[in-house]
Amino acid sequence: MSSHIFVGDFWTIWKVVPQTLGLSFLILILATLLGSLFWQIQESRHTAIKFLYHAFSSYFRGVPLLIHLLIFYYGLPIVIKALSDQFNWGVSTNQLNPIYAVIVSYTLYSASFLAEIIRGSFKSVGTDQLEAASALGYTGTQRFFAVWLPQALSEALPKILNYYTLLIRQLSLAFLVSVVDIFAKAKLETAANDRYIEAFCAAAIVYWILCVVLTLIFSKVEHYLRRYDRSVLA
Amino acid sequence: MIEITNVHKQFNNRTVLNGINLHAETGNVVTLIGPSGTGKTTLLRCINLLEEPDQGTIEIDGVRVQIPIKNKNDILTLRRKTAMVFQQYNLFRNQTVLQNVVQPQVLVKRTNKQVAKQRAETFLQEVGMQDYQKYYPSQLSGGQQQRVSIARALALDPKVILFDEPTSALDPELSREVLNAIHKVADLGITIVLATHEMQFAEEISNQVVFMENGNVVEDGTPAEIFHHPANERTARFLENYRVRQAPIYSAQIKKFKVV
Amino acid sequence: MHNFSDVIGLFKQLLTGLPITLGFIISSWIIGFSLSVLVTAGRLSPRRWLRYPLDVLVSFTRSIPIVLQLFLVYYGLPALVQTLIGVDLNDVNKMIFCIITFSIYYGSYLSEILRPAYLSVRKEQHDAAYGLGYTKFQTNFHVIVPQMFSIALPSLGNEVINLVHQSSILFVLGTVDLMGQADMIITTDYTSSPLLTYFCAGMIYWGLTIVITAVVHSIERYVDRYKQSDLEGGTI
Repeated sequence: MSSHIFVGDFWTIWKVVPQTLGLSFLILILATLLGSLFWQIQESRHTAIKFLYHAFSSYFRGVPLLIHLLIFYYGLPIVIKALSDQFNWGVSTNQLNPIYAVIVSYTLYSASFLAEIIRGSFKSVGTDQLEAASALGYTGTQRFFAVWLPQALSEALPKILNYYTLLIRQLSLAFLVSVVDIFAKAKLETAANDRYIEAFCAAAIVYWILCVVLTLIFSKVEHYLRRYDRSVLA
Repeated sequence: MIEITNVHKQFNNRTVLNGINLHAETGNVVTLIGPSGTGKTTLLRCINLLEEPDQGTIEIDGVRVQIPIKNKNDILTLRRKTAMVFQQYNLFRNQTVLQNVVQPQVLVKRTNKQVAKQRAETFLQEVGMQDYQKYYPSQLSGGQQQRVSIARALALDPKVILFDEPTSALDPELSREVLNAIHKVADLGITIVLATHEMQFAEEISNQVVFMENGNVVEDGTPAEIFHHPANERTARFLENYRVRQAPIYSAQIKKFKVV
Repeated sequence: MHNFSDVIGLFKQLLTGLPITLGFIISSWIIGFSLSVLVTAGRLSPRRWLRYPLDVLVSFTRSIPIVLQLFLVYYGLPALVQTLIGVDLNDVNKMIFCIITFSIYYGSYLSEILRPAYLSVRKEQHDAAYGLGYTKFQTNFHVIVPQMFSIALPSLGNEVINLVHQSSILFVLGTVDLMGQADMIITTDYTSSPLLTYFCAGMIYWGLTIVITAVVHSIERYVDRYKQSDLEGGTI
């Protein structure tokens, strides 16, 4: 193992950190929004809608992310072409950027998990809290925004942030469709200089630093959010 | 003034309230007594429509709601005449003591935030909790939480405050401080409806006592009438049992079990 | 376009990879889980020289994508062994490297589930056992660990499914498991549809997930059978 090559690889890989974090963040935001929508669908009273959602969520959670990614990679251009032909959008699907396949597949997959987190967080707010708000004369909207949402958020946010670090790691599969993240960059380096161990070690260190730093920040956030649960009862 | 007429409520075909009628003048302190599971809590929750009765009419301070409710806005209008103090305090656990008293005023009464703060401080002072403004509920004892919850109710300037067994989750020493706070509320002249098992307290604070059993009002009168000359034989038997259970040594044991 | 018998044929070929996938999952799980019990015990130990290195290992395996760990082991381990003891590992079956990677990964990762589960067993339980005169080992073995598993079971079930899903990445090394078969079909048969092939492979993984979920649920019901009666008898 050559330390010279290792350092070179490290800095090359370090340069793709912003785009890896950015892409993961974009997916996280989209998936959180979609997950909230899924939560609402789940609460729907129509059994048919409920059943459809259950089938959908079972499929997305039951099939490996890798396969979702590949299915969207091959399937998305076909769907877009069909739509484009139907409505005369004139979109050329020959050079459809594979990043769209990553965004769509990762968002749908993550949303099906985040929906559970969101549902659980809203459920975790005790009925006593909601009842107190009603008894004080809050309207439905006030009750939601002043009592339910803040408490559910402080429950959900640490879990959603935790999911973010998972997403960063999951994004390593994107090299299969030639989207460049930290791992894909390492792989490109090995192809360029044929030195596997240096590049993979460098990537591992980059991931490690990222995860440790993010986890540290997120635990500070969590500590702050849970300040009211810290009982110092004498 | 509170006027409750013919209120019925069933849960899963089990009758909990079986045609309740109750009248209370403004400024009255009404205590509801009776065996556990007799519908006292349900009646309180029907008065502010946290539970919707199956039939009946509820009128508070000129707002009259008839079941079935036609206009959902009436629920809020009626509810805003009241405030409630819960058995388990139900303070907003993510808000400090001060926020717990300020936010309802701002949201429900549209009080200016500065004014709400001043009022909150006044009422916290009233219940002896002015030194705990920055604390979160989880950092307080049960009695302290309950006193904050009383301040929160007072701050809304309600016509009626409903107390749902406010001391039954507390140790005897902690109950005392809460009972003192309720005394202060009574002194302010606000109408009170209070469900309780503390007979001695009921006798000393109220000027109207309602004895309930199996979802019915059995007897309704002054403390002197109910506690010393009950007209109904069932009332007498209940109070008789209660006196036996309240015997000093035995009651100490009961309290101990509760703590465990 | 593809007709029904083509799809049947596709499934048949994909399913030839299933035994390898299952063998991989079972062996990785058994080794990984056993390791994680040791790692958990080590991390709960008061000895710092044991605790700190294990904490670092767990932090490392948690932070790094499994595919990268796979490459690290696949390229790094032979080089390491070669320089240290001069043994050539280049002819060793790829599957062995996969099992080693996943065993290390789950061996440390599962301790993140077992450790909190152990700590969440209430202090009263320890006191009760010690009060009855149990030794430390008896307390752990008969009282705490059984409760720990009942707490950890749902999460462990999730991790089995996770393992099944993560096993789909092995094909990047050219293994002949389920996903490896799919890859082979697509690269060797130019008339094949990647979309259909991956979808069919996905169906098999889906089926596997549903079966495992059902099994985990029935184990959970069995393990938790005492909880209901416990609750009923718990009130005075």
